[in-house]
Amino acid sequence: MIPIDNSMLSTGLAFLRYADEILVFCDSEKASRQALASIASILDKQQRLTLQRHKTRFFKPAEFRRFCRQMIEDRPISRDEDELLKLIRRYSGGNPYRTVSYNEISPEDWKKITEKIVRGIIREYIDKAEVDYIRLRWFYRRLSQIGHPGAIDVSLEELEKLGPCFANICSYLASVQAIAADRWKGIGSRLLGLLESDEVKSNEFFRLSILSLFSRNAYINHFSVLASRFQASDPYARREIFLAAKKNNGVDWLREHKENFYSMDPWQRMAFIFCCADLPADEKKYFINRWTFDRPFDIVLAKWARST
Amino acid sequence: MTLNGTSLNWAIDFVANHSDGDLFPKILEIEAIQALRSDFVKLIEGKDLSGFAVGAYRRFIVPKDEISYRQATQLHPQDSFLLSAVIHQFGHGIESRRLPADHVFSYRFAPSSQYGLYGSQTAWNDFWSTAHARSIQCSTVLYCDIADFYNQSYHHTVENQLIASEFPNQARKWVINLLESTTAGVSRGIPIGSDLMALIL
Repeated sequence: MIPIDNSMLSTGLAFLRYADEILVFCDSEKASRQALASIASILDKQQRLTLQRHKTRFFKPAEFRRFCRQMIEDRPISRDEDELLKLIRRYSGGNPYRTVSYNEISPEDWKKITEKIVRGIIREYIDKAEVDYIRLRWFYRRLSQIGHPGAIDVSLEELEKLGPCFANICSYLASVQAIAADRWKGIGSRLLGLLESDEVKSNEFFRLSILSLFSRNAYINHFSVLASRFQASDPYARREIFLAAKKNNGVDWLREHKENFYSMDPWQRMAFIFCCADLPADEKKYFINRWTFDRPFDIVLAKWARST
Repeated sequence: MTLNGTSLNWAIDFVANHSDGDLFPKILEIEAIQALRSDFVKLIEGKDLSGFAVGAYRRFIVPKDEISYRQATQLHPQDSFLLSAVIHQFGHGIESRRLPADHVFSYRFAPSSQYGLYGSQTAWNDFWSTAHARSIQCSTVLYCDIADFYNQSYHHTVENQLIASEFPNQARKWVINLLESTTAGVSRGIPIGSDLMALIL
């Protein structure tokens, strides 16, 4: 975007830019229309880019300032969300990447967040005629920081409406802390049920996201069901099933797939070598040493698997 | 031109902590590279970058809202490490040519272990706060948005900018080769999936 920025500056446009969004401050309505024509021309001549017709707008200053405030403010959908976000911010110090462990949160604060409250917030989002998925994804990301289990049931029940948040829901489920092992088992059953739904069957990314949860949490288990799905699964799903085997002590099942190593795609091979770390020392050394690895990643992975 | 150990070590931590965002499941095998990082760094540091062929990537169609989808690409982890190290080592060449941060707010290059490649965590709010203040002295504000920006960006344009930003030949060729490999030879389109590519656009 450097040439485009420079050209807009040379043209005398008073602009600000954030990624693909451009704002131009003009002295008159006529000047703003000329600015639009200039930008359209610069984008075309520089890189054959175009503007999104439905997003282009001319604002009067007062209206624009209202628009700015909407973009900046947290815009929680309810008072419950507002309070929950404040609580998360207090523990994370406002760092959106920080994971807050269960032990860090005081029992009083943890009790304040109930399943009813979290369910209510999510329901309020998805009951709107036009669901604000950007905002809802953001809410799931915040909830993942503290891993509160309050959104588990409503997310699994309403998954049909929550497709655009699918990846965030899976990240959220991977983050959940402080629930009993038998509840995880129940969640695992429901996730397996989801694999049979039309939405998930038709989308490779959904299947990958669901299956990845079985390789990250031993309590979800159900490995025998996953193993039975292996032959009919696509390559990405097979990779996740290998990883789930490692998580669930499925080393004997993994052994049976050694002979297929030569026909696996690179992502399955990577997972399989990773899983080989759990084979008995002599067996894994003999198996891994039969293969030649020439990429640094694969060389180091093989060394790690042999020595772990 | 070769990658140095500092950038490679930074890249290992960056990919482990930030790279694929929350769109893709974390690649568990990265644990092995973290555990034996000095072996990995030794195999790449000081070596000819052209010797590291681009690996297999994964591409998915992901729903954006109820009626639209977008493509998302997950690079092979080795390529994520190398690209991160290239950006870490040479990104300042791009950053130094950009307009000041009070004009262009997004993705300002300032690598750190805590936040990744980009500095400000408040850039979005800063953008709108500045716009709010600027609007007081004007009579009309034009708001516009570039259509399908990532998918429409030409590799040739990116390459010219990498040259102007003084990326060494090998680093530039490696990045362009990576882009071409993820678009099946079509000369436009930048993989979407992490923020790694944002600086080179």
